[in-house]
This record gives sequence, structure tokens and C-alpha cells, in this order.
Amino acid sequence: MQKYEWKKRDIGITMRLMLCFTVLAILYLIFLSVLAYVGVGMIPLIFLGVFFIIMQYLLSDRIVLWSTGAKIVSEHEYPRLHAIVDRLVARAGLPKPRVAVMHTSVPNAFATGKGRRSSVVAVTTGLMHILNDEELEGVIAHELAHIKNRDVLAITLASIFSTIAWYMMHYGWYGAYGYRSRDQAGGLILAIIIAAITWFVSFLIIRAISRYREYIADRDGALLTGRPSRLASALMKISGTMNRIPSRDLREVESMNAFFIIPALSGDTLSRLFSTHPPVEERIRRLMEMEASMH
Amino acid sequence: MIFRRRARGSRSDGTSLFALTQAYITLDVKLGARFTGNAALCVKEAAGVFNFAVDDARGFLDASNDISHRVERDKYGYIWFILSADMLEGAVAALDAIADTFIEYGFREQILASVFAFNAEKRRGRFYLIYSHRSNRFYPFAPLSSAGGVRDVESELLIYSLVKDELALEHDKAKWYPIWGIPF
Repeated sequence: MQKYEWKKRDIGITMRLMLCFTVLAILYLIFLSVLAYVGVGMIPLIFLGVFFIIMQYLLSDRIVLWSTGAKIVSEHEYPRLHAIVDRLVARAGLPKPRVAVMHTSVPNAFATGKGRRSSVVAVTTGLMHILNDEELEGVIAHELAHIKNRDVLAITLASIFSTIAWYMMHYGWYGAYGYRSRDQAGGLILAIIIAAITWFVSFLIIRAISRYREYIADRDGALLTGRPSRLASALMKISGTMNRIPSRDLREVESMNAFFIIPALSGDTLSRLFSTHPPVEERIRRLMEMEASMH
Repeated sequence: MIFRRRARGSRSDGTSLFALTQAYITLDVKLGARFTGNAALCVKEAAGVFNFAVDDARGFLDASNDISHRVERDKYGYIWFILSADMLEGAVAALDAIADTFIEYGFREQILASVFAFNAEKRRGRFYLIYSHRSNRFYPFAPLSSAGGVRDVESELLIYSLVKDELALEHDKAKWYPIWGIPF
């Protein structure tokens, strides 16, 4: 058996996706900046920028599948996974998305695609390993909620607006300093730096929007299964919060504390210092409150 | 081990323990939870004066008409005062009283916890509320099997969410230490 050290590598897939899209975005920015430098007008540039983002949106499932290494799997290969997806889409009234699996011990899942008809739900083998069927259903319901809410489209729209905002700022800067600076070598570099900063700020804003949509997907996914606590316990397992609830007997711990001046809790305290996942804690808290209100 | 005899009788903070009777109503309504009639105080055994405290506690319980009790010792060297009571209120009051007996004798540090057993009809069954006399806080404990070492965290979190406004609960889940093989 493999040993699952997912706590340390939890960010792997997210990092790869972020790197992929960051590189893409930087390439666009450099390309557009070069075009701006050689004197292409503002309107064609905006069109080009929007065109890039639309292309990225249309190809998003392919980019995501390619960068994460997720493979589309058939019903014969993963009957349990397909059965869960079938049950949920029937209840949600969604067309069935394609189902993909990533071969990694990191427990993770994502949904992507242009719209409800051409979506992909992907899970890792690690996720299927650590979760029971009910918890897996909770996670997949969350991903289906993303599809139902067209979150990929929402984020793409947000990106388009941020690109337009970037161009406004970019040209505002040119306007202030005049076109003379274009002849200087520093002009282009400065333009790229300002563009990068603008892009970074809009990146933060987009992250805030996606965090918000994450809560919405938690809620809608939980409504779909009718059991918010399933997703909560899945999140606890994925984030390692589950491991913080001790299994060692209180009496054993008490006798240890009598012998050692430093309480036998130091391991827990350390892990708390290094694994701060307040959003996950918050998500679990909200889900459990939802569960409590349903009883 | 040093025993500190407290001259001025510092009684336990009973208010947070007594809040259990209020929270029980919520657990009953939301979970169909029923007090099994069993509750216990678990105290680390010591020698000498400790035996007087044990005698006092037993004397008190013997004198209580509506409560029957038995005393058990476990492999960790703890003594269990296991109560059978019809009403949760009676069990809470009796446990608070015998906890005070030990505190008055200066054995506050020896008290492990008070444990109350419930059966939840709408969930997988038995769960316990463990009350720490040191932190004056409760936490839920739902073992899936008495000795298996597996707990139903989902149920515990649900119980936590249900009663968190009525009961002083331990927020730090890293302190939710289980007590395996509770003898009731």
C-alpha cells in the first residue's frame, strides 16, 4: 500500500493548474504588450485580449485535463464512481458530465467545462481511497453544483472584466506620460511590470469571487445530497482535520501528562501551526450548522 | 503526586454542568436522544485520605433514594461511580455533589470526567457527553464500537453544532479525547 502524505502535497494539483494559467496569462500579457509597443491600437488589443480569454474558456476542459493528467474513464473501469454521478445528475436534472480520474494519492476533485452539456468531473484515486461512498457523493455533489452554477463561465467573465480594466490602466499610464516613452527601452519593461501588478490584483479579486462561489457550491451540493455532514466529513478527511480529533484514550493521555512537564499534546500544536486551513474549518462549520438546522 | 488540600472549600463550577438538562431537551427534539439513565464520575484512585472521600461519596449515593449506583475499577487505575437514575436532573445533581466531595478533600486533580450516556434514535445509537471538571466544558464522544477505537466524528460534530449555544463546549477538537470501553 502507498502511504498517503497528502497533507504536505495537498496543493499539488491546484499549484499545477495555477502555474499553467499563470504562464498562459503572462504569455498573453507579453504578447499584447509587444503589440501595444509596435503601435497596435487600443480597440484591436481589447478584442485580442477578449479573444484569448474566450479561447481559453472554450479549451478550458482540455487545458485542465492536460495539465492535471486526468483521464476520462468509462463505466466499466469505475462503476462505483459512475453510479454516484448517475444518481446525482438524475436528482439535479443535469446532463451527465464526463468522468475523469487522476492517478495520485492526493485527495482532490474538480469540475470544469464550457457549460452544463460538456463538463468534466474529475476525482483522484486518493480521494476514492480515503472517502466512503457517502462522502464521495458529497464531494461530487459539490462539483456538480459548480457545473450547475456555471462557475467556470462566471470566473471567465470576471477575467474578461479584469483584462479590460488592465487595458484601461495600461493606456491611462501611456496617456499620462505620452508616447515619447515608447521610444525608450525602459518603457516596455515598465508596462509589463504595471500589467503584472494589475493582473495580480485582479487575480486576487477573482480568487475572492471563486471563494464565494465555493461556499455556494457547498450549500447547493449539500442540498442535493440532503446531508451537509457528508461533505463536512469528507472535507475533514481531505484537510486532515479528522486527524486532529484524537483516538488516544483520555486516561492514557492523563497519565502521560503526569510524567512529562510538556503536555503530550505538542504534536497537535505543531501541526496546527503548520496547517492553517481556516477556510476549510469555516466550510465545515457552515455545513454542520446547515446539518444541525435540518434536524 | 502532590495533593493540595484546599482550606476554603472551592466548589466546582456547577452552572456549566447543570446546563446539560437544558441541552438535553434540544438533543431529544432534534436527535431523538434519550438519556439512558446511566452517568458516571471517573476519578483516579489514590491512597490514604482518598478512601475517606470515596466513603463519603458512597455514603451520599446510598442515601439518595432515587439513585442506585455501583463502583467499578478499570485497568488504568480509575474508580468509576456509575449511577442509575430515572431523570437526567437527578444524575447531574448527584455527580456534581460527589465531584464536590472529592474537590473538598483536595482531589480536584484526580477527577477525570463526568460521563453521561445517551441513545440517539435518529443516529447510529449510543453517544456520550463527557464533562471535564478542569475546563468545565463538555464534548461529545460517539464510539462506533466500544473497544474498536473508531469514532463517529460526523455524529459528534452534529451534536456539537446542535448544543453549542446552550452548553459550554470544548472548541478545540484536539482535546476531544475518547474514553474507550465506558462500562455502561
